[in-house]
Amino acid sequence: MRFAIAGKILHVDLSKRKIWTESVPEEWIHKFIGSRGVNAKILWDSMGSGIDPLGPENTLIFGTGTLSGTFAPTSGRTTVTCKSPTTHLYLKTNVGGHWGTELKFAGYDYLVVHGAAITPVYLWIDDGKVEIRDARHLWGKDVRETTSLLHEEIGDPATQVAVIGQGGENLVYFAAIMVSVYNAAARGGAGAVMGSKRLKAVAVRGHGSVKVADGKEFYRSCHVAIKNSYEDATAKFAHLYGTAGSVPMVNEARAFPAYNFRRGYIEGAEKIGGPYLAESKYLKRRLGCNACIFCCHRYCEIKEGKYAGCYTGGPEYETISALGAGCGSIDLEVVIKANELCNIYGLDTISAGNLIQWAMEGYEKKIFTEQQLEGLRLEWGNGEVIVEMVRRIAHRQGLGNILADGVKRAAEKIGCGSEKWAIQAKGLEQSRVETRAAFGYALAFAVNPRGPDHLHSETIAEFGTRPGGRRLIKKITGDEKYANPRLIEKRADIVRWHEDCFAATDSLGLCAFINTSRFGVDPQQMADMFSAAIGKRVTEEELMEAGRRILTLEKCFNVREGATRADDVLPWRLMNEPLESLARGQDVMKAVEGKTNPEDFTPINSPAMLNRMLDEYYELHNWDKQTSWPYRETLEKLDLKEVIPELESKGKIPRKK
Amino acid sequence: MKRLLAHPNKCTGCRSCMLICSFMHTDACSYHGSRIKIVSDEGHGIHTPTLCQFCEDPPCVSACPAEALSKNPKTNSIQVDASLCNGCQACISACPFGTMFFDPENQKAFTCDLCQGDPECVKVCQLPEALSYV
Repeated sequence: MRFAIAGKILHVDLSKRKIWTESVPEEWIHKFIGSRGVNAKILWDSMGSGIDPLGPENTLIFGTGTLSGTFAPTSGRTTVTCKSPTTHLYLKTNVGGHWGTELKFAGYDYLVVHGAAITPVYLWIDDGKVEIRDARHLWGKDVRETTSLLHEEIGDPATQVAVIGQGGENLVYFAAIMVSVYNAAARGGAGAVMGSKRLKAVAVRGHGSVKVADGKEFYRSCHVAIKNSYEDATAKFAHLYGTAGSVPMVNEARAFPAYNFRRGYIEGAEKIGGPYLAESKYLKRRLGCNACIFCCHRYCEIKEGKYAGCYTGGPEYETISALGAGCGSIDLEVVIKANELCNIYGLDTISAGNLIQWAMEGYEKKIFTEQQLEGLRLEWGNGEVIVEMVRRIAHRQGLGNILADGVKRAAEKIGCGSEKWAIQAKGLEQSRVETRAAFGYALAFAVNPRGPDHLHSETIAEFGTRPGGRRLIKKITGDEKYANPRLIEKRADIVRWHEDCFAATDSLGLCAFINTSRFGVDPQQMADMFSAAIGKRVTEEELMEAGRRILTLEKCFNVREGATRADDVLPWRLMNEPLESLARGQDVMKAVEGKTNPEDFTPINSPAMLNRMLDEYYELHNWDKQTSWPYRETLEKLDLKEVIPELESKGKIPRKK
Repeated sequence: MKRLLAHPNKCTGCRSCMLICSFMHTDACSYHGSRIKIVSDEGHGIHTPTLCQFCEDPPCVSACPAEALSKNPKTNSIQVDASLCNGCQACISACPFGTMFFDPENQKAFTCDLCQGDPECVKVCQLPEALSYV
């Protein structure tokens, strides 16, 4: 009997059609906590460097949170890990919904998929029974239809399904794995990896339960977390308006990525914001991931007009910026329709929008041939084209086939200087954060092992707009004055703290919305819930150290693949072009009490400022500044000795000067 | 007397209520141990919670041949006396709402006991307010 976890890893080799299980080593829970952390360990052990991410050597790992299956608030999140086809580097992509908890109730904490099938298959996990089943009849079907067909085939509509759509089948480099229909493990192309394995879906049904070691203490610590979460002023806001709630404010702050990051503002953004959506005829219901107490997810329908019959989960803040403002559109119906298509084809809305914007800017600059365009008029704000491009990307038709390879490869192929407006670093399309307006975010995005986005170190506290954020900045830096996103000082400290916390949060299966986007739950409370659940005292420091160990292992994966400091950059535009809307002085920071921009503030992530922050960040981590690689003593101190021999044999353990 | 009510249009399908309910009553978190059930149509975002309706004249009580079921005068919930329950499941057949359940392991019927007047499920549904105890 294991507490909190089921204790089992389910391995499936699709090439050999072999299924086996192994137990989760006790030591891993203490070293890597669970989910994202244990995934990192499994991934490191399962492959050498240089494998083809879309070949059978890639390993696709689904890891449930250590607290998943319990009522610990927001504990239903799952991390999917593999080598990314987009970046050829480390990929972890996190998803909510209910699939992970079902897997745990079926008796497995982890599902590790090796090899590749010859013809399409799906996995059917029914408690202890696991089968590889034919999925030829499902290939070519979208996410929603596949889920329904599996429900019929299995005869139980409560079966949880993780599935790829046409995006994953067609190896679109930003294809998502969808769970519970509308929840996406979106970033970095995990859906393409699943497609390359010809694994259409994983259907799971579990009737088990999860027991914690110290029920009384677990109940107490969870209720502290629940109470504190509810007391955070933004909790209600999150429920009422979802992640899209912040659209109008971010736009007012002139930091809402619009027109492919050329502007930080779009006229009329309130019409695509969460509060407007909440009052509109489109929002039908609010949804929650497993064990969530906020329930920020949306469900929308369009009943009349051009897109009548559209129904879908979403839209989120990111989707609204990516498929709306980013493309120069404030048409909410277009956003919802494009969101539906991304969901059912299984595409990352962030990257899909990014590619369409890149093409729109290219269209404006006349870089495409008539033949490439096939009559498409890629004008800013052209809603029909936005929707149509999502279709063409998913099916790799015409220009869509070029965009489907991700913005880095598309720009390489088309050329004409278009790499300068390809908003990517490491090959990953940047998420919808204007890092020129927030330097902690800028550093976090640059060092994120999977590429530039916010799900590595969400440093919203640096804005200092909320008491919880200011308290946190004081705790990290010793002074509230560093709660100012336009400062370079202390960004390294702020980012590193958030990295540790975020890794621990992911690994427990919790959502960033309880502690780094909102401030209800601190690492001490996470440690309390974790300790009570597993029956061993884990201190806050130990939990945060495990977070750092996880992040460092992810970093080591990239080092092994050949990544260096040169990879820790931001998109060209953000490093070389100031953000006009902020440069003109229309800056919300002036409205925030006691805060003005520093004298030398320019809204740009210049190489000079980034380099300064990187130096401080590597130093703080005790990584070599020249290469960005961890020193031997750093790895030893974090008890990551197992990675040293391989890195050493590749000459990637830097010598301390 | 306070009543526990489920409001399906507000249910987000998060199942927090089920996980805490099973924990309070079975010492382990599960769906099957919960006194609340949620039927989901994920494609349409519809989640329908069901729980005991605390009937005025409960058919489950009348149906029980062992007199194991009775109304708790303090909370108005249906209480199952496990020492009397013979596992015949007549109460389950009698319940028109499908909210009387059977534990196959212990061979006993169970349903919502309102946590003796302080229902835990409501505490994890404060934002959606899909469950109310008023």
